[in-house]
Amino acid sequence: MKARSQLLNMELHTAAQRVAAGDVSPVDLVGACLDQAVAISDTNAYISVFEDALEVAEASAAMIRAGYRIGPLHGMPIALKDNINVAGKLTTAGSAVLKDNISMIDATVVERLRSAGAIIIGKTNLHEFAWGGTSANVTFGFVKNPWNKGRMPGGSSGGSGVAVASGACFGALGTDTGGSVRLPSALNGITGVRPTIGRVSNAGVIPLAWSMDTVGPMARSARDCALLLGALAGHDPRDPGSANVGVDDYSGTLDAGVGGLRVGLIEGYSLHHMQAAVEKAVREAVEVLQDLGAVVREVSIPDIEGNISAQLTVESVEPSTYHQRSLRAKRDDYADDVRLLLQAGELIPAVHYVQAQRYRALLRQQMLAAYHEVDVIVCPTLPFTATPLGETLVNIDGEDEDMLSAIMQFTGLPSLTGLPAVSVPGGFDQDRMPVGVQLIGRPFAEATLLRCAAAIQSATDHHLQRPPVLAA
Amino acid sequence: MADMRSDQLTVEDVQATAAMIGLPLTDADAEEVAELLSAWMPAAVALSTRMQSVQELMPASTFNTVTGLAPHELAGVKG
Repeated sequence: MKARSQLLNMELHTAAQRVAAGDVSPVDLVGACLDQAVAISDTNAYISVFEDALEVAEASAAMIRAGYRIGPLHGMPIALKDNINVAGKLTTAGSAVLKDNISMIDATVVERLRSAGAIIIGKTNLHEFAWGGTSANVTFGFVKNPWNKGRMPGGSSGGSGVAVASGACFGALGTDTGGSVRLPSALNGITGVRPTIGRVSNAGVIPLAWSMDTVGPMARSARDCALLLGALAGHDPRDPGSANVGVDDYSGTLDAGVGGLRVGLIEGYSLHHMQAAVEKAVREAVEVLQDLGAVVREVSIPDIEGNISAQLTVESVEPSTYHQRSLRAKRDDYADDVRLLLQAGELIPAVHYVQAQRYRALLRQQMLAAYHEVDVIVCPTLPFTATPLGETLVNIDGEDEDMLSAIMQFTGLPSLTGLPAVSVPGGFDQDRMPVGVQLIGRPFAEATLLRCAAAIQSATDHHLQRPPVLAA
Repeated sequence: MADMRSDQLTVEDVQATAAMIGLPLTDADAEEVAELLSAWMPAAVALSTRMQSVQELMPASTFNTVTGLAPHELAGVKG
């Protein structure tokens, strides 16, 4: 038990170095993760676990013994959100609608992980079709937060967040439309990246809202995320939305520091309307950056108001379009909450949708203008910490609010504008539930964001804290 | 929809629109959809109205250059 815990407490980059050096075998790592997946089965983090990963691990170990290393992720056990295709495996998107859906080919991101040497160990649970922020999945079980199993883990990539935080994998992929990588990263105390739109391929991923969807890495630290993003990023002709833009050396620039970096807070937004523990975490993160040499200033985004409505509109209409046929053929296979959202999305007037898209362009113009004055913008990942399982309201500033809208308050800004963002652990609330701080950057400036996140993690230990199941 | 000036949708509004687009809804579905959209519509209408006054703005959601800035905007921007 102790030996497994020691293995699983390693960060991904450390494990990768030790495998390369022959100190640790991929067989031990994969075996430990598969055992841990069983140990945390009450969290419903995984939908399926690949026992054949052990065979891959044997081959991976043999390669190392023979002096051959496939790539920087050689032998690393990685989990995938179950809306990402793996050839020959089920991809359910967390829904009974796709309960028998076997994928024919790997998603591009899976090809890239395998090309870097990673071993795919299973598929993680999610909010059905990624359309929700709590991972309350009626088909595969509500995903539970490892810091307190009576609380939700965020979503929609909740299973990936829980698996990473619990040590049931060394890194995971999520997908992020309105915040689905960043939200569970924040609520489970891990680090997650929403890359610039087009930076990482969506080919072979079941869409939610095409104009905002992206795959993103989730891991225990900025250094681990840098390693994963380096393997994932780059142009893909299979994805018509893929950007043909060069890829930075994310790991190589991590330790460059933040001296002189201009950090921005958006007036009336970055520190507005959130629970006290969240505000404290954001202020502390900004102070850490300032202590490390960053310069902090305020910026103005005149049309910031309206972002939640625009996101609700776009994130409703596009999924309703994708599911239009299926909703009519398999109505009763959808979860009640998702079915309602899909039905409602069909009834939103087209002019509202297009005006929301035009609003995105306006918001993007104003954000890009702000990046003349700053390099990184800081705000919370979400304005509250994990709520009880099944809750649909959240209390902020003494008032109960609809959770779906509240959850989008800060993650919507990068989602709507296509800008990259990172969620980093920012500490804990009074109930020891994790808080997330969000860093937002220029298009394709993931290296800057990861450098900033690494700087925070060099001066704090929030990312080193583990939930009870792993701390034991 | 019976009254486009209203933010509040009735079950009848929802059922009529759903019939127009071939979306089958039970009475219970229609009731829930009406409630949800009635909660969302005031903000959506406000945003849509606000955007009517913004001219010469094309919707775009991808970036074509490294920074996403136009060439004349690039000067002075750090990488």
